[in-house]
Amino acid sequence: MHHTHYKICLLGEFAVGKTSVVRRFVYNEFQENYQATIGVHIVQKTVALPAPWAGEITLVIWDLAGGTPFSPVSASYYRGSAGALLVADLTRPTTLERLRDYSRAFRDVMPQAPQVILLNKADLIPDEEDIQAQVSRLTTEHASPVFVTSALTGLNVEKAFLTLATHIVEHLSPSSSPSPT
Amino acid sequence: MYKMSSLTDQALQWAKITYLVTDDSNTIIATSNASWAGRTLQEAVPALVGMEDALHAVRQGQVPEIHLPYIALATETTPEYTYFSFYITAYPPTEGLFVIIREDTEIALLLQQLNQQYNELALLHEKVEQYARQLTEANQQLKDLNQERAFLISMINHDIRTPLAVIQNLLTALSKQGTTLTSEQRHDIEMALAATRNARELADMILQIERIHQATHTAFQNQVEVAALVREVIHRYQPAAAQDGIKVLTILRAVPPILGDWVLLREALGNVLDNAIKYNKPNGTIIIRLEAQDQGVLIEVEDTGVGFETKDVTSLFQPFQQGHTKTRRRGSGLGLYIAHRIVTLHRGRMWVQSHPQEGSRVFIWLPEDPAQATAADAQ
Repeated sequence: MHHTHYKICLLGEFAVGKTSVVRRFVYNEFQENYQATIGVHIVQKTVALPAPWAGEITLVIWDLAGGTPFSPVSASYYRGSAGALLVADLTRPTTLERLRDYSRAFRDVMPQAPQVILLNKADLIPDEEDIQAQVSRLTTEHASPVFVTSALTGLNVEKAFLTLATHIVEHLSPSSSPSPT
Repeated sequence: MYKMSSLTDQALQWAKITYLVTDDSNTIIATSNASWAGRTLQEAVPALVGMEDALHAVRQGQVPEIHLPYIALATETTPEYTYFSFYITAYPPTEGLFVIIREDTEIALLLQQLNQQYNELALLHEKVEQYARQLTEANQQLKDLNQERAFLISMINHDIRTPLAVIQNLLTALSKQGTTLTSEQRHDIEMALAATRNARELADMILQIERIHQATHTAFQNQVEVAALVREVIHRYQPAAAQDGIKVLTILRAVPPILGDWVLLREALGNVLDNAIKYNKPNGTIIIRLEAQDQGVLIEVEDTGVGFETKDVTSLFQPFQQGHTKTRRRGSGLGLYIAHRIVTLHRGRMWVQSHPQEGSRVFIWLPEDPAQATAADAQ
């Protein structure tokens, strides 16, 4: 497969852990203290696609600030994105509700780009049933893959990025469809 | 290659501004950063990778401009960021793009601090709202529990006290059939009678507690003549005292009326007197004193009973506590607890002095007007 760069965006309310998820994925590290993001943090990571895909792609990751009066999210940031990771905080119900708005705003600019949902901070929710109820609801509502993640423990973080990467490749590069083994 | 004067380049450099111009094939043909000349836009500025379609739309005039403020760039090896703002517009003379890149790290960091504070406040606000919701839910649960309690109280009043009274009357009537009962049967009836009396007393105490729950000190608008109250309580308990040969003496000085709830205060003083009778010695004495003190009245109930250890005094006002352990009579353990609750509700004070085998002295101080009494007065 030809090596390609794909821009992806991380969207979601402030303090849901977008930057922590990126740090875990790119640097395999976690910072305890919360630091608000301003504007966009861009970082790249080359990943090997899981089987049956062969080859590597580079994800150009745009970690966007959650919308606040001092850092409004500009739709122009979304332009050219191949996909998006929508992040919510399982401990804050309002961030789950706001996923719908972020998804719609992204779809308005990039209607065909795939989206993957991350329900973050799973390490803070002891009740497994509570989590599964949210997963079922959001899977039905968004028709997108939903992952329960934890930037602290690393739970499902890489899986979520790789799932988006394969969806992007499937969507944008028909020629790179997996060949029969 | 287009060139600007070196003076202009120096000024741009000082202002941390870089510019570039591309041709229609995306190649940089003019720039203030010499190392970018001849490279493609995405090679020079990797942040714009993936934006090819959007940049094409700008070149074609379909999108007038793209403004990307505060883009932080880092590499895979270092997580440190430098912030840039991009302004991208079409440049018709070359059919390419004109891109201005300004380093904004300083202002971005200031904005970051503002954002940080705003977000932390917003998180606190969310938490407060969450706690408020939890409080509302807890409040509802309390209301539900209160309803259940009211139901239970009503049940105790109607379905327990009334049958107990019937049983007590029947047992009393039975015990008076002196000639037909064996001594063993008489003993059994006496035991059943005592148990019934205790059960009724407990039910009465629970109803007293319910009355305390219903009352608030703000509702105390009625004048209470304390000397009259003391006389009524003595009148009620005189038969019980006489049964054990206990004399009840009074030393009642003139006192001002107080604002309070007559029924509650009668129950409070009644419980204290009842205790003094129960735990007194046979043929003992009880002295009730009344005097004015500190803009209120002081009632003292002194008995010649068994008394108790000083260490027991602190737990005396807790429910189901009894200071007198070796006595011939047992109470519900609620009497002094209820009396203390009623006195506190009137913003008064209640305390006890006692020594084993030397009797006890229970003191009750009540303010003339509970609404005027400070919280510090109450204990």
